[in-house]
Amino acid sequence: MKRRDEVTVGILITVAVVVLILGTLWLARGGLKSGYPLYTRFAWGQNLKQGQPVLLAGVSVGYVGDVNLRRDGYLDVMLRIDDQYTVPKGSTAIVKPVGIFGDVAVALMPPIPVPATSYSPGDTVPPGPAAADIGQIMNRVDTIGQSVSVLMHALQQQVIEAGTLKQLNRTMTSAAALSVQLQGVIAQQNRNISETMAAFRDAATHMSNAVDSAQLAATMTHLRQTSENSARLVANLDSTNRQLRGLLTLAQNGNGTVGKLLTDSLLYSDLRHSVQRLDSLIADIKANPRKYINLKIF
Amino acid sequence: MSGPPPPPFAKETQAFPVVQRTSIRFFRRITRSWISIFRDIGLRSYFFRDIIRGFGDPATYVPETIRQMKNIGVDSVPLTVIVAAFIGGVIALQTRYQLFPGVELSIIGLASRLMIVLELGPLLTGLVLTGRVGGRMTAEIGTMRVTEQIDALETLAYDPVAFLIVPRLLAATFMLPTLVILADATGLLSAYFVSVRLTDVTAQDFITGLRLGFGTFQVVYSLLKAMMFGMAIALVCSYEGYITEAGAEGVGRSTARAVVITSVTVLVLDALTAGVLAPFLQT
Repeated sequence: MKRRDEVTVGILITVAVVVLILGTLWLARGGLKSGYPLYTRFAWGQNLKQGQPVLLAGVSVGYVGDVNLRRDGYLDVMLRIDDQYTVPKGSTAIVKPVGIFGDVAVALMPPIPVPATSYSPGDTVPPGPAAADIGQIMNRVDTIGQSVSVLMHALQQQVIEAGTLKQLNRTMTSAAALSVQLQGVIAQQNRNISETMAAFRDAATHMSNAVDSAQLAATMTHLRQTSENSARLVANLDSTNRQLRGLLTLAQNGNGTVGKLLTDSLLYSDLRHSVQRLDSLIADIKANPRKYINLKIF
Repeated sequence: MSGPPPPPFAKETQAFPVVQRTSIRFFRRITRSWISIFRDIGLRSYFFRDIIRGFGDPATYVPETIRQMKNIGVDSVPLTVIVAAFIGGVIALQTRYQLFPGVELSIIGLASRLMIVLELGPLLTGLVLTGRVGGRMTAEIGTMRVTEQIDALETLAYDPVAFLIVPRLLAATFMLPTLVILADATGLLSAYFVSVRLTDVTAQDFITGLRLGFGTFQVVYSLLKAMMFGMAIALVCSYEGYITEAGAEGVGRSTARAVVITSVTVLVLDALTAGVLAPFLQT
């Protein structure tokens, strides 16, 4: 009985220790095989932890084996790559956000075209350009959210609180009523236009029946004669115009009596002098009428 | 001229006015409470001293320790495994169905590991064993006390503490972590199968979450808690059985009190452990 107790207790403890060791190794190292190490270096603040997956072109090929904090702003990161995978030479490593809880993975980005050579165990994979982390994305989302909030607040104030929405509703109602009225008017106008066109068509038909072609020809002849008379009249007027322009030219040049009358300044002076003398004479006559008018009757 | 003799009082305080008598009784009760507390502390200190002295007699406790390890450990494996399996499955299911769309499904593996390894594995194992092992411990030792078997051991020059208490303490301290290892493994396996078989979580998702941010200290933390729970179960339940009085009724009362005190002690230790060691769990 006692021996049996010892055996069962021994079996239980052995099983527990084996489970403990294998389970811990499996959880910590991603499997019982350790894989081969590759190294890379990232800047601080990447939220890297041991055990996070390593992806090669999106496929999980290993895990983060260790993260060492350096004092110069960088992290030395050891990647454990499964033995069955090789990482093409020239690949770069970036920290890629996974999900929305800030979890990350190390993504190895192979060059295109993929070279034939691969990194050897212990090589260092150069870091690639950093991808936007969840913090940046959330900050961006936060900024957008704030903008939307401001916009919604403004809309709230302008549209709802200021009564614009009610006015808009009223306007829409009025527009609907107006539309109905316009439709009625348009229908009425349509009918009127149809009737007018029909009447016009009838009138045209009647006119074409009523007009005599002989009268029309005589009217057209008269119109042609009138037009010819008008042309002659215009020609005469043109001739008269030319003669008048010639007379005016002669007058401007001082030729002829009219020209001399217009251009002789001496004549103008004489006329002014004569007018002045006439004014003084008239004034004198008004002042001393008996000097010039002496009426004697009988 | 002398007055009539004072009436014969049953107690001296009855000679005092009511106000003084009430005050005296009040302070006397407080004093007795404190004396009782100090007496309990003193008794437990003696008990611990006897346990430490009992460790000096391996010939007495080593053979019995193996038997107790079988009673506490091997015989508790089915119960522990069943409880852990159901807890792991329920955790995986609940976590999956409480997630909102868009969340990485690997979070189920992570949540299952953290809850089972850090908290529920040790705690539920401790509470289950409090009822199964602790109650049995108190009843056994209490019965031996009321049937004067412990006195007989002393008469035979056996150290009863080395023979009864130390083996149980050692067995519980070492077997609780063993059971917790099995409970953790069973819980995680159960969570894995439930997630992969009954939900849309893939095996790769679950394993990715299971390994995410794992540190070996998480396992050490779980085992430390289990050791403390085992020690608490053995010490409290053994002591309650060791001081049992008043026959079969006293055994029943001691057993009930032991289970209650041990359960509360396990919960308090769990909280204290989380408060002290949880900061070291950050990876």
